[in-house]
Amino acid sequence: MIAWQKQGDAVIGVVSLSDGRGANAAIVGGRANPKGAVIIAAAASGAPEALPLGEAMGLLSPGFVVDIVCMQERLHGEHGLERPNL
Amino acid sequence: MSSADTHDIDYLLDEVITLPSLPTTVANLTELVNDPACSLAMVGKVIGTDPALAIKSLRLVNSAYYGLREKITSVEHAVVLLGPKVVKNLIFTAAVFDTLSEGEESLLRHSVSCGVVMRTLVDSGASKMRFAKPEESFVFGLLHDVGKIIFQQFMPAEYGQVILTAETRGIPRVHAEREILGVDHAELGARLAVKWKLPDELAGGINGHHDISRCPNEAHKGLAALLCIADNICHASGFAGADDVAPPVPPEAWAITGLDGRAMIQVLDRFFESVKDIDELVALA
Repeated sequence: MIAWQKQGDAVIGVVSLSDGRGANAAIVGGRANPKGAVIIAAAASGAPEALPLGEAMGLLSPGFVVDIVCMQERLHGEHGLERPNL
Repeated sequence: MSSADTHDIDYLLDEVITLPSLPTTVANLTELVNDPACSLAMVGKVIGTDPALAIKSLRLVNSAYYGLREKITSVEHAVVLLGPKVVKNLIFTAAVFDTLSEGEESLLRHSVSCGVVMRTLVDSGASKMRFAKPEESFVFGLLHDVGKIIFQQFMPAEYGQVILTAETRGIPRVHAEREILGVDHAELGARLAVKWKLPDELAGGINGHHDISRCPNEAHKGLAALLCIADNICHASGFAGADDVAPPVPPEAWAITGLDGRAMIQVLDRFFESVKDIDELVALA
């Protein structure tokens, strides 16, 4: 499971991508916002690029997707999930 | 037994632990519904011999989670409306709730949420493989950690050490169980499933939900993989029980079930809609 940490208004955790790159998952808003969860990784140029979760699905294992979506729901959702203690 | 001793499962079952019996009503009912000569009246009569279980089953089937439009007012009504096999499952689920209510409330919540996730996984059709019937999947999820309750009942001091070790070292309880007791809750739960004459693949699925390599065939592996994924979803969504550290889902579990990230989002959306029903179900135990 992803080890999550609070950084300012965001919640960040380390993930690994299927192409071998390391990356960070950052949660900044709810699921209705396409950029509420983004994957930040180094692009070919070396500069960091942020991909919305929906566009990064092919790069993530299903386990990471579960972790990210559940944490996003716990932080910003309205279904009554227990808030994380970060 | 000293806390430093570890033993195999047969020693524990011979010398330390007595597995609970399945209530006679459930055993009789299981036999009856598999009999082609079974009639609705006979089913009603068997259930009537255990009023407490019958009442709990009615409360369960009338809960929001079951989502029936019509309120079920009696066992006879349930049998006619839902059929003997569904009612048998309901009575069995009520009996499992009784067993689970002997444990910590956090474990009960975890077990109920795992039942809800299992049913969502199976109902959604997200996995291309059929490893469980929708009507059985809820109770399969309920039962996956029943071994923890048995450990707590029969070996409270040793299990206390397991809990402390897991918490202190930040490891999953299942790893501390193997280290301290020599047996884990999955193995013990599987033995209970065998004693209760539950489907073979359920015993195998429970046994393998933290170690799929224990499963002898594809049916067992499939159910073990689904239980492992359901367990992981519960941890990720805040229904971890007292066991805060989740063992990871092995890549094999995703491969066996054919579940990918997009399918998991569909499953999670459906699960989140059912979260509101979990407290009501926990209160029924």
